[in-house]
Amino acid sequence: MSLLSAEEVSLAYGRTPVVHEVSLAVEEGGVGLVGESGSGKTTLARALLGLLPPRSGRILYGSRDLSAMRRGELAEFRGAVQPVFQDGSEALNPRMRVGSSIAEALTTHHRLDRAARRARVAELLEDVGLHPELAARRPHEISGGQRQRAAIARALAVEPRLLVLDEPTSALDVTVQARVLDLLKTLRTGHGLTYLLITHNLAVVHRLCRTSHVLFAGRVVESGPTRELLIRPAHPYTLALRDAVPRIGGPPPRSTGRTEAAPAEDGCAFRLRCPLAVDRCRKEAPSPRLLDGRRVACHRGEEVLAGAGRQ
Amino acid sequence: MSSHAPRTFGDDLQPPQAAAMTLIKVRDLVVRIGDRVISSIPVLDVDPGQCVAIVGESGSGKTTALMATLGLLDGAEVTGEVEVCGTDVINASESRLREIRGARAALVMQSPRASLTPTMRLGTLMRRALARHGVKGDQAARRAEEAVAAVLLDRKILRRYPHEVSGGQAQRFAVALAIALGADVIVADEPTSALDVTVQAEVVGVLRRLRDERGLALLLVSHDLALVSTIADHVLVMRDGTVVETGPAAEVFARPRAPYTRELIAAVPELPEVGR
Repeated sequence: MSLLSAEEVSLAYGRTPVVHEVSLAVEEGGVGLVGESGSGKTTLARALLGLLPPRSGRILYGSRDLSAMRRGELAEFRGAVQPVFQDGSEALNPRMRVGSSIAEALTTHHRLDRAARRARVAELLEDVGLHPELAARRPHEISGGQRQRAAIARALAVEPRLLVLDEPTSALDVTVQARVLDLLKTLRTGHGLTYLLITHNLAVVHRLCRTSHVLFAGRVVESGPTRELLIRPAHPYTLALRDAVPRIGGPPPRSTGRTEAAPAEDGCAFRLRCPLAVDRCRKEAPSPRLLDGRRVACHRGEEVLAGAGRQ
Repeated sequence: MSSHAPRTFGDDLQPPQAAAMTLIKVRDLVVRIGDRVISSIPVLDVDPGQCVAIVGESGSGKTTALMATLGLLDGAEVTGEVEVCGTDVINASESRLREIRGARAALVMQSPRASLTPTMRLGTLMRRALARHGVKGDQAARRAEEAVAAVLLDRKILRRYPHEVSGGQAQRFAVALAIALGADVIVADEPTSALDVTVQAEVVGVLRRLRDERGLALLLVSHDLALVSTIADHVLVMRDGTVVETGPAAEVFARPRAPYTRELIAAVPELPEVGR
């Protein structure tokens, strides 16, 4: 059984539908949600955190439906599933010392005396590669990378099983990003953690997640093993995301030149940006189907796998 | 920082034989606040049709160097030689600087809408900017449409307000504005770091085309080495206010000599090898 899963989940803000019938399961080895801004990935993450009730469909924690949970069960869920956001300072009270912010999370979920709490805070700071003396500083007195580490330490304080990471490194410099990604890799084994990682950068997902789901306009267009998706995408959108990542010594990043086109209302939502779109894509929305070890929603998946749409 | 001689890797610290056309020329630029050197650049030249990039992390002094180049630093002591389109920036009057920044060397910033007035349609904004430089009527309309086309935008965008366009469109419009005013230099500070990878690829594609087809000179500041490697002809790597390595981009990325450059390159997350 998966730790956390979505079954045919649709989400909306008011009357605006944002996510359409998404099913996915968060399993060991990590799961990535990849897509551009506006694809619905953060909205879906909010629903998986229990912060946004689905319009239809279910979010399951283990086998239990989030919407049917009692208070005690919800408290257990909130302890097990912790968010980490792009900007670490969101999780830290700007007027509190870093140590107190972490200790606050400890007292909510555990009963410890003062000395034990202080020792635990020091231990958590060390776990994320920070000096315990940083506990006495305030968030604005430490660097962005240190703040992100402190936010991770606070999330770890409640001994979660799953971290939901929303663009955890996109505000950081490359070297700091590399160190935070290394830290997340180490913590995974040390704390027995699973990750749900949300990002627009496929290279970051590749470092942390075995499985990936690619979202376009609120729909999963391709899911499967991250490595497979990167080496041989079956959806033209996955291909576009991959080829747009700049690489040292690689070919120049490729753009389809149509990223401003709004998702199509009928047929395949991606067709106005798709270099392979044909008449069928306008008439008929593609349903997800199994193809070469992944699920893909594209009429021309076989051809993309075979190399169509590349330069 | 000023007490020890910084070690720079790179073969072109000697000023090259001056090209008559060099659009940005920096020699021995040092920016100080009090006694502290916050940014120094011994040599930097940007020629037409060339992209020079300053890479480094937060606090490396790269943005300070860029601001000093355009004479935009208040409250800091700037010494050395900075020439932009033939004007001595350090000793120029504020009105002369404004002229240069308006028409010859345009600044594109990280936040795509930072330079756009929120209550003005993009077309109005461009027309007013052109009018300030004496271009009016049909001529202004023609210039606006031509500039918008040069950055691969539809001319319908001229009727939109800043909040009605996406980040990538706003960023390309900022470039179009510079083109319309006849800029030969674009100075860009992290122009794509707020954008999705796909949109970033598009903006960089536009900049590359303008460089190749119109001979635009680009001075780019970024922390993203992978991005820089796809557009820059020449690179300066900065750390703690000093240049630690400089040279042709292909050379620096293929055979980095400074340990810090190697560290930066190693930190770029990698994709599995794919045949494209």
